[in-house]
Amino acid sequence: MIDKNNLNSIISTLMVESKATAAHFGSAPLSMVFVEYSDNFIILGPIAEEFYLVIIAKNTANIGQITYEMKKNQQEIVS
Amino acid sequence: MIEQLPEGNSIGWMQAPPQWIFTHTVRFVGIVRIVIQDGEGFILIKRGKPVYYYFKHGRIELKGNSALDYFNSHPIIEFNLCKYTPEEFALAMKICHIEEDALHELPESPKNIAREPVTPSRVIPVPRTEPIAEQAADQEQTVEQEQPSEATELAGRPQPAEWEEPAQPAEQEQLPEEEPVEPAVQERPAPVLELPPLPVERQIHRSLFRTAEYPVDIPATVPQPILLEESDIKLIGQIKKLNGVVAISVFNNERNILLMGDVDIEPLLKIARSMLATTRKISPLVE
Repeated sequence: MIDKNNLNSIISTLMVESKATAAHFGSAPLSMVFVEYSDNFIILGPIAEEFYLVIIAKNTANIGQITYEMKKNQQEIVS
Repeated sequence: MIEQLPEGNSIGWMQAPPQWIFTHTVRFVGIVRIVIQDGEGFILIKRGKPVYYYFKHGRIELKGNSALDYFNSHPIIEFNLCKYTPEEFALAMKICHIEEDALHELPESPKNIAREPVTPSRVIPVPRTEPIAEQAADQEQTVEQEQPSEATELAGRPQPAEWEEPAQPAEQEQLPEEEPVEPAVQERPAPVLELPPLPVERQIHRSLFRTAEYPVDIPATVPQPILLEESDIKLIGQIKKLNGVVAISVFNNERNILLMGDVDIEPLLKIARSMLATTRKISPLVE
C-alpha cells in the first residue's frame, strides 16, 4: 500500500531539487527524473507548471517502453 | 616559471592524495599542475619519475623537496594532469634548468623513499581517542583557538624555512639542496612552512582519515583515504573515458573524495546529497 500524501510531498521535494540541478546546467528544461531501487523504479516527469506525472513500476517493467509512452503522450496528458 | 611552461594536453582536474600521482603516472609524461588555495605549483613527471617539484604562493617559491613536502602535508590536493609531447617535455626541462643526464639518476618515485618527518604548515590538535564525527565538530572550534598559539608552537621546531625570495637569486645559488632535481633523501632540517592556513573545510576533511594513519603532528607519510582503493580509482577513470562523460565525482555526506573532470562540483553535490536523502524517504513508501 502506498502512502500517497507522504509520497506526494517527497516527490515534490525531489522535483524541486532536480530543477535546482537543471538550473546549474544553464536552466535546461527538466524532462525526467529516474530513480531506481532494488525492487522498484520511480519515473517522474513534469507535465505542466507545478504538475508532475509519477510512475511507480516494478523492476521487471519495461522502462524503455514506459518512458517512450510517457514522452509521446505528454502533450495529451497536459491538455 | 609556471607561465613559461608548455600548456600540454589536459586530461582533467582531480582531487586525490599526493601519493596517488606517483602511483598512477607510470606511463605518463607531462606536468601535474597543482592548486592549493591561492598558490599553484607543478610536478614534472616522466614515466612515473618525478623530475621537478615547484610551488609558488605570492612572491614565495618552493622548489625540489621543499615543494614535495608541502604537497605531502596535504591529505588531498587538487591537480590537473597535462600530457606533454617529447618536444614539450624537453622545453619544460629546459625552462626548469634540468639536464637530460639527470633523468637517468632519478629514483622511481618518492613513495619508496623514507623521508624525514615534515613539519606541517599547521598543527591541528585532534584528540586521538575521540570518534571521527566528534573530531570534525571540535576542529572547527580549534581552528580559531589555535591561531594565537601557532607561532609559539612552530618556534620550537627545526629551522629554517626553505622559502626563496625571487629577488635574491644569488642566495639560491648558495643552496645546493635547492637544485632542481633532488628527489633523493637529504639530511636537513624539516622546513617550517609559513603558507596560508588551511581553510576550515580542508581541516575538517582531515578528520575523515583514521587518526592512527594520520598522525596530526607528523604528516611525514601521506594519509590514505578510507574509502577509495587504487582499483576503484582505475575503474572510475575508465568510466570517465566513456563517450560523453563530462565529470565523475565520488562523494559522501561530508566531502568530495575524488573528482575527475573540470566542473564546479560542490553546488551539484549539495543538491545530490539532498536528492539522495529524499529518495531514501521514498523507498519505504512504495514497498
